Amino acid sequence: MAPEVFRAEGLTRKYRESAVVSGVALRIGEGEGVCLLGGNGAGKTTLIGMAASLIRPSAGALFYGGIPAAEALPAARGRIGYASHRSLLYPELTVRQNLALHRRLHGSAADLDELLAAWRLTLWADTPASRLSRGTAQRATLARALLHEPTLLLLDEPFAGLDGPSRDRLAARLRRARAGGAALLLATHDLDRGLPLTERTIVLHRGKKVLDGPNTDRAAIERAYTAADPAR
Amino acid sequence: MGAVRAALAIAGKDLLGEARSRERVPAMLLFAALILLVMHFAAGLDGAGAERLAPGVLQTAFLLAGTLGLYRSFAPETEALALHGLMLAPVDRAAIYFGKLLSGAALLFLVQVPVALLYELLFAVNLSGGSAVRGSLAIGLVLLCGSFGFTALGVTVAAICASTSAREVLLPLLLFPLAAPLLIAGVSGLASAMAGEPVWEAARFLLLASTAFVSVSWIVFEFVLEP
Repeated sequence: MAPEVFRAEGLTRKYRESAVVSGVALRIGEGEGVCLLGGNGAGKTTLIGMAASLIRPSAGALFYGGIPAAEALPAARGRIGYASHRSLLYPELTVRQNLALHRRLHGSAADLDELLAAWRLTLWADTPASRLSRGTAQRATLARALLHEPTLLLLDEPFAGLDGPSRDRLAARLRRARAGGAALLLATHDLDRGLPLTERTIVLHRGKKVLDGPNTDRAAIERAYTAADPAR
Repeated sequence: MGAVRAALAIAGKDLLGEARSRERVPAMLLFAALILLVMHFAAGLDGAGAERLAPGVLQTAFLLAGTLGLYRSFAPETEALALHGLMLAPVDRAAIYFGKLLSGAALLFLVQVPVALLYELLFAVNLSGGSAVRGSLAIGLVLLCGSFGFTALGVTVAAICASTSAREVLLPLLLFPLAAPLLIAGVSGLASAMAGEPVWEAARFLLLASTAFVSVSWIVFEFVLEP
């Protein structure tokens, strides 16, 4: 078993009396990938938010590298790469200024020009984030999330808004990161993108885990996913 | 990266954002200037009356303009959830508070100086009293301590309100009662400065209140951000 990067035990988040995530257990080791599936409101975003230490769990425990969150944070945040539906970019700042801020906050030595080129952002380097198209904003979001070469990738629908070539480049980048030992938790609705990038899939329904198994049994995953999300 | 460097990076980001968008300072200046204009035409004060009312009118203008600035200070953080980006930095989240405190106090002080000069112009009074340099320094000290204390309290209150749907209503409701002692000390300090008397007592109170607000915020800010 690969050394543990992230573990959650009995993770629960309640809003008032309603549990959005309920008793979820999860372990991801070095170089492992887990695909997180579920319909709208299944609790994927909340689960990833708790794993990123952005949402306080109502119950349960989080461990980073085997160390309880209370001891591992805030240093462990430097190893987290998080991207969500929102860009997390400052609308009035340019792409370069946004990336420079996060490079400073993470104490990264990444070369900004190289980073911009790698994410096909050079043309938009001096454009305010508020004026970016959806796809370009998503590339800037991913550049921000991954600029410090994190070892725990928590990505919520990272392919949304990207065109075909950008999707392929992101997939290749995620494979390289995993080959380098990074752990990946990938929430997606796109099985064809998510399954090849991971070995295991968790299906959530109303905050509860209804399936946690290897990707080799795609039929079982599709059955569980369809049952959990009848809108599919 | 240390928390101090992170706080400076966040303060720099706020000031750069303001330099690019010019959303806060012009609105705060205009708002404060409007209050002075209304007072000018409504009260019809002569020289002595204008001097007597100056501390109260100015502090009221600063309170209202400062509240507007605080409200706007969290708008860029919530618009694209950029605050989460700051929260993911591997430093104590109090760094976000201190960064916002530095930038907020600097911007408020930047508004206070021209508004005080505008008061002198509109009401034809000399706020610095007999000794221009000493009086100006004393007024500057009171304004600086006042802006620091108000922002030390206001950043935490604004952060609490930022995640609520009724933030525009909630911010003044929570902030004004808590800021009342700062307002009173600021009025007293300005009155002393204008009379050529020492302002140490008011400045000391403002600094003590600031220390209390900073201490409480340091402890609670993480819980405010991550409810």
